[in-house]
Amino acid sequence: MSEAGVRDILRESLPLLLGMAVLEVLAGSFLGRMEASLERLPGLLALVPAVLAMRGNISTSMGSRLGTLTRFGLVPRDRWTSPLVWHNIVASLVLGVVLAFAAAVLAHVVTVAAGLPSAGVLRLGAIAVTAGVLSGVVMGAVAIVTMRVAFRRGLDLDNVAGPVLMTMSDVFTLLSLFAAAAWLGGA
Amino acid sequence: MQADVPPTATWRAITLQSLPVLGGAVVIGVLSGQILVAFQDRLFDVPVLLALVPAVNGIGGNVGSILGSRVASGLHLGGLWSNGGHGFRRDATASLILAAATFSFLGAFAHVIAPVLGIPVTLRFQDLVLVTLLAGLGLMLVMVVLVILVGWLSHRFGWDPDNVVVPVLTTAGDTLGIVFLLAAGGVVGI
Repeated sequence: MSEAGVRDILRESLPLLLGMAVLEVLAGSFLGRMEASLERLPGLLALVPAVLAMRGNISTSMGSRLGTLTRFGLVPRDRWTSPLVWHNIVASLVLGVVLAFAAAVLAHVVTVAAGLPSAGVLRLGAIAVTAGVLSGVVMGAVAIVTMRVAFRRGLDLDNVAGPVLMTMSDVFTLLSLFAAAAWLGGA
Repeated sequence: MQADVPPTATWRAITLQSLPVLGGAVVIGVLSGQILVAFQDRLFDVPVLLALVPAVNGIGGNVGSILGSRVASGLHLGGLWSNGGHGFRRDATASLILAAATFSFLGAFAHVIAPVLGIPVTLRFQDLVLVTLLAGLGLMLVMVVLVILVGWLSHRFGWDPDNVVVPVLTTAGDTLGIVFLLAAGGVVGI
């Protein structure tokens, strides 16, 4: 790894990043279509970056941990799960629930403090926690698959896991938020 | 679930060690949400900018997490300036080139695909490419400075770089992306 040069990093990362750009624009157009929900549920727009950042951070640091564990031979490469992997997934779900609710409370407080209307802490909280759990379950599976595929193909996980998990996280979190807002947001 | 799991790798340890940093990320996320709310009218007036928000944030976070993850691995192996800083200079250079290439492509792709997805684009092709390129380069320069600071801090206080450097860089990419996108839009007169 210490012999890798700028070109090696570009060769491994650039194709992924360009693919991510394509997926992110598609996810972004989806956000554009949430405009009705965003207008009907004031406070939700303020919540979107927080929930995206939360799930993205949890997923990428989980990927970074799994990568380090695998590199040092602490996660078996011939099985999909192990106690260490399960601990990571449980931590990811617990963090998701706690932080999503905290984000909803904060978004409500800041929105009200700014003198703007809010859909209410319970409704925002229910939407955020539901989206956090949905995206957490999906992203746990995505993290494990990403790690295994990267190792099978001999890719440097530091160059691969970040972009893949971050983008998949944005796509699935926006989908989860959209579904949660439609389901729990009222008509 | 306790078999063969070192105490530092249990879900409790991961959760407790991650909470302060991730809690900070959520606070910053809510504040960047307020930036979105404050510029809501401009974002709704130029819908392609709204559609670009997750992309600029996501790619900023992606490049940031590559830089952070590489620097974190380097910190595990010795320090930011070990080997004469060669590894760090390589990682910083690669990040800037990645950002320039990816953000230019982003503007170009969005200009082509947005109308297909039902999002009107009123900007000229070269203006939208310039907006995303400027936003990407400004963002990366700030992130390189930030990774030096956070890398030094985690080395100084003995934090696990995997738990600190990556979330901080990713959050910076996530949040500042909105600011740089709006600022770059201002440069070309949106």
